[in-house]
Amino acid sequence: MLTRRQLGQLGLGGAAILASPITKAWAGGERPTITIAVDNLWANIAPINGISTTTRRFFPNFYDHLVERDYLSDPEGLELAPGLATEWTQDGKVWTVQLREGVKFHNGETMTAEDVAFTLSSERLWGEKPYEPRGKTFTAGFVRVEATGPLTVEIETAEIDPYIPGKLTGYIGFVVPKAYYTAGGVDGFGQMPVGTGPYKVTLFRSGEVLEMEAFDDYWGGTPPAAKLIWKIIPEFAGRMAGLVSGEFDFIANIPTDQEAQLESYDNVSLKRALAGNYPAFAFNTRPDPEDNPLVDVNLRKAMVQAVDMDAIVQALFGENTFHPAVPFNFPEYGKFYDPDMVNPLPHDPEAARALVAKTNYKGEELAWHITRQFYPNYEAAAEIMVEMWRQVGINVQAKILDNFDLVYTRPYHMMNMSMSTDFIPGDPYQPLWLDWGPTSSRATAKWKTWDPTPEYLAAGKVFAAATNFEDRKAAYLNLSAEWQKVTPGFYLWKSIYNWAHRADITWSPRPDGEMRMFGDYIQLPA
Amino acid sequence: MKKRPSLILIFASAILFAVVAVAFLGNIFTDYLITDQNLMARLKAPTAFGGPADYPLGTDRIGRDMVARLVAGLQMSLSVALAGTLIGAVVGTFVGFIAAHFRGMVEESLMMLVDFQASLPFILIALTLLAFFGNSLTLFIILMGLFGWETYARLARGIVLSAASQPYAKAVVALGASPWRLYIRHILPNVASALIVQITLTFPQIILLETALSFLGLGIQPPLTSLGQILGDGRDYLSTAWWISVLPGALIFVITLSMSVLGDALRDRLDPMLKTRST
Amino acid sequence: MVVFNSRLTFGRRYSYVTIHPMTRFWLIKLLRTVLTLWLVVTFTFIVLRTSGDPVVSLVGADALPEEIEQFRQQWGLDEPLIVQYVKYIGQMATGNFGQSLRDHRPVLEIIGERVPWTLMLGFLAYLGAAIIGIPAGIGAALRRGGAFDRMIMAFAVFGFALPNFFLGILLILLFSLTLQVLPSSGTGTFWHFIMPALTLGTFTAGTLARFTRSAMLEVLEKPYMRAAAAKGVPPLKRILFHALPNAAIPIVTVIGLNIGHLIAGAIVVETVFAWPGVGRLLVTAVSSRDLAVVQGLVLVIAATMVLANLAVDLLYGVLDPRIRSGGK
Repeated sequence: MLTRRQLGQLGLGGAAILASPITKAWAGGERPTITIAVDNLWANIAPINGISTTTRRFFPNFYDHLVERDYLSDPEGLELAPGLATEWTQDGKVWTVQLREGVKFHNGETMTAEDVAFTLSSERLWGEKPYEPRGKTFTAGFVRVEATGPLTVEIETAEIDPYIPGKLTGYIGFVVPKAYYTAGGVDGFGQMPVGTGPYKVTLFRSGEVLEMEAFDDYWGGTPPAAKLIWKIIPEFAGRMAGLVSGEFDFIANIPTDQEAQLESYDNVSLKRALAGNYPAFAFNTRPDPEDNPLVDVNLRKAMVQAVDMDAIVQALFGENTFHPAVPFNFPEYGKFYDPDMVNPLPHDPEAARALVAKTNYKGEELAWHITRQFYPNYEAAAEIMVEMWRQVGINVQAKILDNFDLVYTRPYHMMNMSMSTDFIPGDPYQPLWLDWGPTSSRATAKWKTWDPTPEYLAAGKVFAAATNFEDRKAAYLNLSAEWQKVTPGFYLWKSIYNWAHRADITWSPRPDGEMRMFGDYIQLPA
Repeated sequence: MKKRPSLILIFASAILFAVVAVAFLGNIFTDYLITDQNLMARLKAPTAFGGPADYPLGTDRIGRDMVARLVAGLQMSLSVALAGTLIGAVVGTFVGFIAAHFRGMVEESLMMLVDFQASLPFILIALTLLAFFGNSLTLFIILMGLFGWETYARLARGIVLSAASQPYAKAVVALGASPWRLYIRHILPNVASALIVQITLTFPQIILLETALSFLGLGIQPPLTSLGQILGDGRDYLSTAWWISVLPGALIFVITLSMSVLGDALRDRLDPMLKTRST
Repeated sequence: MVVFNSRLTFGRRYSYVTIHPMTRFWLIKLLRTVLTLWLVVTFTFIVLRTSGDPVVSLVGADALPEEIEQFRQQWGLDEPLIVQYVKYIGQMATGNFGQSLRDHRPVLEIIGERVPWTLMLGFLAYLGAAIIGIPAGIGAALRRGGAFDRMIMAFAVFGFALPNFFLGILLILLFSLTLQVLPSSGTGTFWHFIMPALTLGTFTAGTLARFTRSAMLEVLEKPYMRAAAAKGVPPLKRILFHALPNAAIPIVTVIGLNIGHLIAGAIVVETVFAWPGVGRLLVTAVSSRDLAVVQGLVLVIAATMVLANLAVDLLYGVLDPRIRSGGK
């Protein structure tokens, strides 16, 4: 119900604002409120249950990572910096993490090693009945997590794992308070979370708005804004008009074709960042439905060769991004990346037709399940690709569905991948092994699209065990080759995140999509 | 008293005729298919507004010719609306007749169904069914057919009830005519005029319903297209590539306007019969 | 007073007590209302429970099978349908709409938060529609056949023929982006109401104008109007006190029956303007398969419409003395 206070505010507001319909007065000396218009929030904002591109924007404002990727000093994000953890050392299979002292949670408690141990524990993430079961993928190989001192935590893994600190820059690195979390349960926590970040959540209505207020006891300094308001404005026209007229300070998710118009306004700055993230689709390689034509690898390879992805990316994104022609040869792989690698399946409609002729495909309809508006330009690209496939005689029907439940409902022949491909800096582990390997949802879920071949699994074992660079690189190339033999999926383009904000705010975006409203990332006008 | 048709009425009829003609003629207006994409020619303006000569009404976001799209969309919208209207009219009238003929429990239960339908805005029912059962063209047309059937049912029932109590009806029955004869020869013609007017109301409402559903993502799905689908597709481009939305929007507007004028004229003509009907 | 609805006894008529026809009329109406609502609730249940597994989309993409099972057990979605149905009817009847499967908050609370916003918007839309539509209709009736009449009727159809989200976006682009005189979306001040109310009200304004016009036209031709003129009653008084009250019946009917259009319009308008009302709640609940919220909303909406119809019938009785006496 509308509280009397709200009604009163409306009335007062109405009276006071009758003179100026659009107000965005930042009184001098007072810290301002920043309003961000977004297309969506999420149902639940616990760190793992809430994983999605939309939550990534605002999570770092109220959660802190144990380890940070400092994009300001290293645009590639390959360098790790201290966050809630100040030091980390490895001794064989055990990592020892030293924690920052005097960090306060929003509910007044001080962070201790118990909280961090709980954050990474089997109880919460990887045990029998964990609070947030999806954490299993990120904590693969964890054997023991223990608080060995008031500010020290040990993480022991089954095999030697050099990438633990990298993993702590991700979602599992967001520290949660053990007492509050276990008291409210993950659902209660997900509706009113408590973290250590510069802002604390004060109001969360999943379909409407998320409000946060400055947490002045933040270990990293006083936050620059008094309040952050994240509003859902589903229509792009509304977001754009609101930004230009001054109602909103930031907006996210601008269709590529509208960027030019937004840039034409003097009081607006447009920012783009190439994300470490590639939308893709998966082929359903399994005989489910029984007559699934895609079980034949020639048909899959034909489909890859039939599309001119470079032209599509050029048309939809201009020069701003590219298509990764060779599977798993991503620039994010650092030293593993080979810019001269030859594409084994280049665009070639003739070759595609020849491959189709080798199969038993008779023109049956292939259903491609796509989640509505999940990736910018995905639907437009899909329409173009469907036409290109039609040209070589392959009949694909793109089905745009409202939510993942419908996307996962069989029968389908292709599906857009709901989890985009994030990276551990400088290593091919993710997505090559993590997202396609035996623990991945693509290989285990009810809706799984492939069964990893024995050769792939063997190559994967070798790869996971290889620690020195030469061995690892050879193993990675081998693993990638095994994947390509099957070609169970196709990567489309490197994501671009974009944002627009008031020109008088100085703000640095991050390629991982986080919108940080504190620290060196933002400077508000005086 | 017959009035000479007004200028507006002539205009409206002409527009409707033209629209139907375009829909029938279909693909002669352009060489492009609706699937022809030209990635180099995305979002081009209509020729009259500075765009290239080979796309008289411009192109959409993946370079497809607007003329081809609009014609195809028009065909789909008109077909769906026609199918939906006819199904609704036939089913509704039939139900109304049955209810009025049998009276008693049959009438009560059928009228309860009518009440049920009238107690929820139809878009709510459509939204829920399309979202939960998945959007297929068959389901969509069935839904459009269900739109407004209750209006026809109420109408038919009311007319039959009042007609059946008229002296002439009793006379006809007394003379030995079967109920069917009574209905078809005597009552149906009276119902027909009311139905026709109602059809001119329902038809554009279905087009508008389909447009609203397309806005919510539950309308006609690609690769099929409809006026509502093109309109919904183009709504992010209103300030840059306005023709994508404005053209189908204008078409929808014009069709609705003309049908409404026609409906008004028909109602004026059949006035005495309809005075007693309030909706 | 014990009442025996003679309709329900097949064959013989028993009347233990004679009841006033009006009471009987209202009792039957009430019964039908309850039955209609029951039908609505059953229909909703059938659609929602038989159309696939809602759990996966609620728990999120890539949820593990154990998580899904956990969730399903928690919400009783693993019990047989009949059991679920009986529980459900019981809950609906006692006003326990359960918890949102998405937000884990009581559904009634969520709906309760949103209803006032839609009501306010609807009320303003209606008010605006009445203020514009009724005088327009009267004016058109008075100047029948003239240019003003045609213009009014054209605008009326405009309101009905233009898809409302299209109009809404156009208004945003004009008044917020280009002219920058009105806020684009959301709530906060009185100014935030203007564009959504305008968009929502155009349909009703148009319909009201048309109906007022035809109602007035009918009434103006009645003998008592000429009698009033002959008596020397000035034109304004004639319209306000002689014509309008008699024309009120169809006008009231339109207002009552348009509630459906208002709710339908709200679904789209609230999405365009990011208005925190029940229309937008419905859209989000449906697309995220939040069964509890959808069920609750459908019932609330149906109840509203049915009550509106009852209110119209009541008003009918008040306005038209012929009905009050029970004859028709």
